[in-house]
Amino acid sequence: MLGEGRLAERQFEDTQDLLAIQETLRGDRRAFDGVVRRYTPVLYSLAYRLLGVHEEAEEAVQEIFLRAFQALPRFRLGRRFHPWLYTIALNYLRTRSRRNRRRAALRVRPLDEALDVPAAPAAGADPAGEVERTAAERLAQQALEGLPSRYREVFVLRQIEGLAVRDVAEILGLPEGTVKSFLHRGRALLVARLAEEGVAGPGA
Amino acid sequence: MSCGVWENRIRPWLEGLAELEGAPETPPEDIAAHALGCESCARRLRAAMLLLRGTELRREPDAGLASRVSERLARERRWMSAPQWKGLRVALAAAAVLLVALTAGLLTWRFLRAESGLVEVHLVLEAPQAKSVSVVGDWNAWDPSRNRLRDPKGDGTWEIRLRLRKGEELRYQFLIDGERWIPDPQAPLQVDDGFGGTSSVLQI
Repeated sequence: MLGEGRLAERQFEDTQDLLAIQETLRGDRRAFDGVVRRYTPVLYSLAYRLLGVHEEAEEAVQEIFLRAFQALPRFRLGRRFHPWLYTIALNYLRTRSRRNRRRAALRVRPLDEALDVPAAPAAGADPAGEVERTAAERLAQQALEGLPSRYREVFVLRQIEGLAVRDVAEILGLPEGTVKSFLHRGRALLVARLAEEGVAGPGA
Repeated sequence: MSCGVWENRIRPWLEGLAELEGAPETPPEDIAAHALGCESCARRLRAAMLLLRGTELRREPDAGLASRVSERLARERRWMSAPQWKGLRVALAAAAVLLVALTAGLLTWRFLRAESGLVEVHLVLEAPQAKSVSVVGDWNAWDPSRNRLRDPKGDGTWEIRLRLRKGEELRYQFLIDGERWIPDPQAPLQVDDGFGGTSSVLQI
């Protein structure tokens, strides 16, 4: 549930979005640049969690904005922009994810591949802590990738991106009750997935 | 290898957390103490906390991503808008009219009458090969579904009569077959649309 402060902030952003879209449709190039700056971080995060690969996520963000821009003349100014943008994003990410899965079927990926080769820590104060954090995040990502796709989408939008239940429902075209139920079930499944996947990690 | 503490203590605790809405705080002391000496449980526990807190899994894009998106949009917009009027003139001059004949521009637009603050504008476009033509502009939020031109004689002369508010400066383009955006070839005033294309201007 959004707090009052966050709700007011969201309403302000909705208004800013609509002004920017109006300006864009009147031909102001810089207006859409503002939209790009505002939504690049959240779309990248969404794409990364649904695709799991940095380069894939970066490319996906570009394609999503391109599709949104092309579809802009069909956007009705009475609507809120960000659920519309997220819907375009999810449609694109589903297609890309399906394509990736078909390709991945040709290559078997060891379950704990990521854990066997943790990323080298950046030069910092706590390299051991960084390695642990990276390994845990990769394990979390693996568990996320094991969720059924609708649960995963609800989980990422609501739990990670922090969108309101109402917005998640609008984006996915689901009743709000179903969103809550998918979120609840998704959290339980993630805990179960961690029990299955993490047991045989290195050093276990 | 399995860890009994995970199955008997940590997993039930996590399952309890998964039932609740909201982010978990720190683990109980006994679980935290066990995690200090059990690498497998520590990693899974940390992954679970990342997932159940959610927002810690947001991923930041590289700093330059938004700029790269904007640059790509500017490039693609030029491509999307092609052929522009300048391109058409070159094509016509070269007599390469076979493929682009649909946009051979013979336009008339005139103001028919003014009453009660509204002006009737008659737009005509010669586009013999077009299957559909819409006019999109400031007055219809650039929505292609709102003002479709008609070709009553079936001879490629598309037309529409609009009643627009007097005293406004309105930008517009034609959309041919839902995909080719062109300015009005003989509108007296054309402006850069900010994306590498051209919009026509109605001053009424």
